[in-house]
Amino acid sequence: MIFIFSSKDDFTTNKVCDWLRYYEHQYIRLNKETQNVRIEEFDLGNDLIILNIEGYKINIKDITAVWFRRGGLSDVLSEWNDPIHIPKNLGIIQNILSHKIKNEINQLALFIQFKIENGKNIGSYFNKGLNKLKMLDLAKNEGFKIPDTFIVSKLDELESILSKNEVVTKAISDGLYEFTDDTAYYTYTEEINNSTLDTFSDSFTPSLLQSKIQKKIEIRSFYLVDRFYSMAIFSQKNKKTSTDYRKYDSEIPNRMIPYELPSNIEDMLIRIYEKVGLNTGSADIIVDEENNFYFLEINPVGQFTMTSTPCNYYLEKEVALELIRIKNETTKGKDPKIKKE
Amino acid sequence: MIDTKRYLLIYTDVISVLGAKNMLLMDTSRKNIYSLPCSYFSLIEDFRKKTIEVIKETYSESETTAFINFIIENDLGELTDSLHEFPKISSNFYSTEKINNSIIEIHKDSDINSLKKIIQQLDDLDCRFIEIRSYSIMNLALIFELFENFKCNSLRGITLLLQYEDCSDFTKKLKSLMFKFPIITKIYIHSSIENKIVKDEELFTNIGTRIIIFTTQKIHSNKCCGIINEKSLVIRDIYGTSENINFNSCLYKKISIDVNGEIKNCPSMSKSYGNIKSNSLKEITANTSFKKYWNINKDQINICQDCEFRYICTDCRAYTERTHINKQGLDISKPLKCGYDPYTGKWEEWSKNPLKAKAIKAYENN
Amino acid sequence: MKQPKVKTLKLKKNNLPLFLNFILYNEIDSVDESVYSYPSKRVNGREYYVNNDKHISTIINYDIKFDD
Repeated sequence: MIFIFSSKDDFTTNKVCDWLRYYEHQYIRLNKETQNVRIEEFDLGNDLIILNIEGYKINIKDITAVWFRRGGLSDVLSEWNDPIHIPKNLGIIQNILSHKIKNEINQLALFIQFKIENGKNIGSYFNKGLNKLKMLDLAKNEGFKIPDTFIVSKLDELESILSKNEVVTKAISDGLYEFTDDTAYYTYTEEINNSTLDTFSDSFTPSLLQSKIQKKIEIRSFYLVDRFYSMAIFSQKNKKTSTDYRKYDSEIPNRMIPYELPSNIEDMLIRIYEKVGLNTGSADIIVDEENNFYFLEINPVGQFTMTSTPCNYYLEKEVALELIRIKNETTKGKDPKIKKE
Repeated sequence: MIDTKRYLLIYTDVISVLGAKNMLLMDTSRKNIYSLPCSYFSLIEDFRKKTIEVIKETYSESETTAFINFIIENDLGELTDSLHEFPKISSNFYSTEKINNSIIEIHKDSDINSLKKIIQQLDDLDCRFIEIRSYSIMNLALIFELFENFKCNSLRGITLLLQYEDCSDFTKKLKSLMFKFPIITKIYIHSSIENKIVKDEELFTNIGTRIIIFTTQKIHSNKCCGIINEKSLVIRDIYGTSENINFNSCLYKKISIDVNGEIKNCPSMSKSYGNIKSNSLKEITANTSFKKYWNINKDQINICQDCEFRYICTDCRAYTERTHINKQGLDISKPLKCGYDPYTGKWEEWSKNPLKAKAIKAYENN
Repeated sequence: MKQPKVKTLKLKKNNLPLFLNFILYNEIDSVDESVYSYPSKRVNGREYYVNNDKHISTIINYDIKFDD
């Protein structure tokens, strides 16, 4: 059986599910919002781990192909069905206990996640937060150009870099992306120059700076098991998108068309994917006026519909077919039917 | 000054279509079209392979420069050092749904349970869009009842086409219908006293473009369908354009249920494949003969195959000039209600064309 | 869709990581998700309402002028 980790509002997952339905393969889609997940039975010695997902009893041995898109078991099992009652007279240790219990469940969830993925997966929970600096370092060692990359925490250091380079700043981890009930807060890659220094103190939290590349085009390249599906984004002409193409201009959308990476660039990317143990991802690359390829980052749970749609690539179909291929390889054609209890 | 060793990249999502007299550049991303004399077709083909320098050996300096400026000014391309990294965009088309869209005819005495059953069956076939039509005044309460408690799984939008009703709260009722059932994304009102578009900021802004369109056009029966004019031509994105390139742009994955419950490709076509009283839509959809027009794309249709608008045209198999039948017995004649002549590049009023008189008469007698 | 008005959060002098000096924000209309989507059993996810980009039929004569 094919198993998908996702969220309920993910349109890309809907499309992959449509393709699985089209090819008549059963699947279970576990959304991170799902409340109704229980462990029915756990007997490691007898290799028996049975989950109950919205009424479906799933023996995880029967899971024969996995797509990790979002969420994961640790999201759904931490929202345990029955609220946990910690006795009230414990005083200061009460908080410690609640933290302890969360950790207990999380360790269990991570183990089951690991057993479910077990090498028959596209994407992985354990790779969802790649370290940006590690990836840049890897890319550099594989022969990619990378933008000059600095970590600074003092204003005078920053000023001295600014006197020599045009720079941008972005998060070392992920940018801000938060929604309250009535407001959305977010950060993009931003240019830093002398006019933006006003609010910075003399010393500040270590921050990532990168030299600004004079880009000709930006490339988004989706990778799925030895194949690249690349797209050129002509974001440079548009002021709004020239620093970060996600600052989408809905009136004049950026031109996005199919692109073919040079084979040596593809080879470098394959080696990077192999080193971090990924079989899918979306790489962000910049090409400058001199045709140098600059590696920016890899998104391990690739947003591929934004590449697939303008390029007519049908990547959702490719992901579905790959899941079916993995399933057939794991089961050699024998796959038990999913039954609701 | 242009460096002539470079190439002009005409973005690959800009697709050129050759017609007999003119050609069309279709910008499938920005949804714009540009009509050009067909002599530009080979120039564009050359630009997709050759440097500006080489092109200038064949075409005049001024012609080449003017064309490059046209492309760049309209943001259809740019100068580049090489072309090989920009492969041609695929025009393959794949879709998962068994049925994509449907037209249902209703009137004031339509059986509500039968209509509910039809919509449920369509949803089960993964149908995405439905147009529900009435040529006469409807009791709106029936429409409210039709969607009450309806839980769909596949539908993405329903369009209503209703007759204008002369009562003070008609618009208000229509708005409340859309408000209650957000799956209704558009309402057309025919036989209205005026042409107007109603958008209610308060109710509809968040949702996108839910609108009510009033038109004075009188739509008395399904014989009114099949109009092809400059305004009915719609450029779709690369997905939709690929669908039109490969399949019949009207009938592909369409199923229609006429006012008598007859199951057809289109309500205006006479051939029925069954009746909703005794057949399921699923069973009809499985019938290969029902799907015979799905693969008739515009490249197979007489005259249209020479028309530059062929991939943005809606086509019509219900009303044709009735001049050509293919080996499988399918009507591959030009749509009757199209007034465009691709050989002269001119639009004219189709009903006044003497060559169409015979076909018009045939449909009138039906 | 109406485009939201994006503003930049104004901060006093601070020692935050630099990227957090560029927080953008915009108001979001609190719309019930049932207005633009519904839960679909077909894919066990939310399906979104959209306007079709093609004419299902051409019974409407689009060649009329509206006083919009």
